[in-house]
Amino acid sequence: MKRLIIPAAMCLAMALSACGHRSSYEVAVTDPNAPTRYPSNHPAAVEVFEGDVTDRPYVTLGDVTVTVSKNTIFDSDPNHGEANAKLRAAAGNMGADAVVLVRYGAVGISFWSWGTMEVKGRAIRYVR
Amino acid sequence: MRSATSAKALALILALAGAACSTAAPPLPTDTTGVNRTTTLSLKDFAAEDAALPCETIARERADLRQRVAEANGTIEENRRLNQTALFLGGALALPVVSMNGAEKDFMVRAQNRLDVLSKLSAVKGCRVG
Repeated sequence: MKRLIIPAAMCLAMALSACGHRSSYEVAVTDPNAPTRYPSNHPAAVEVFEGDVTDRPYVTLGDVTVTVSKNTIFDSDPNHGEANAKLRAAAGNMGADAVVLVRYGAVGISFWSWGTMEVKGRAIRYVR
Repeated sequence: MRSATSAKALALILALAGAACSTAAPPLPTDTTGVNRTTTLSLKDFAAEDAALPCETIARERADLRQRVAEANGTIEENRRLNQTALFLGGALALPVVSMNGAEKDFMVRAQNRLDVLSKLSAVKGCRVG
């Protein structure tokens, strides 16, 4: 019995250390030169809008799709806040000032996760 | 008898799997507002009744749709929790409580399409609301 305690504890520790979320993203670049033309922007500086920006001219950099998934069945489901954070990071890498027209898929199981959510948005950079 | 129970269990699992699947985010509309856009819209590209809408009405309809989308999202999340509970409980008795969320998901797609139209209309009309 005692021999089982250490392996069981190790398994539990490994399972708990795997808790959390993972994400992946893909970008359909509108302007092929955009990723190298503009310096990256800090994620915190990237604004997220569910609508469009109509009062400032902007350059469209590309369409970003982010997928956020939970690692284990015991983790909380991914939410809009987490998805937005990943969207900001992805758009910030492209030098975007904002992500507009953001829309979310419904959370559900996928082939790889017990809880997955997809979010899409258009990365833009304001004309200076 | 045994095969009937197995069939019910299989139906439950399939229903739960279908109801629990994630749905993709709606596709993004064509870019019609960036300075590097390839398509430019005018009021003629909208239905006559939409083109006649004032900015205030557009803003109100958008706010109303967003509110209803948030409510539909809440319903889907609540049903997801119920479905997970049904999955843990198991058995054919749980089948009646399984919700497919079909109506909510359909509504969200329609609402997003309408929001995209209103967003473009808002831009063409020069409404301030983003």
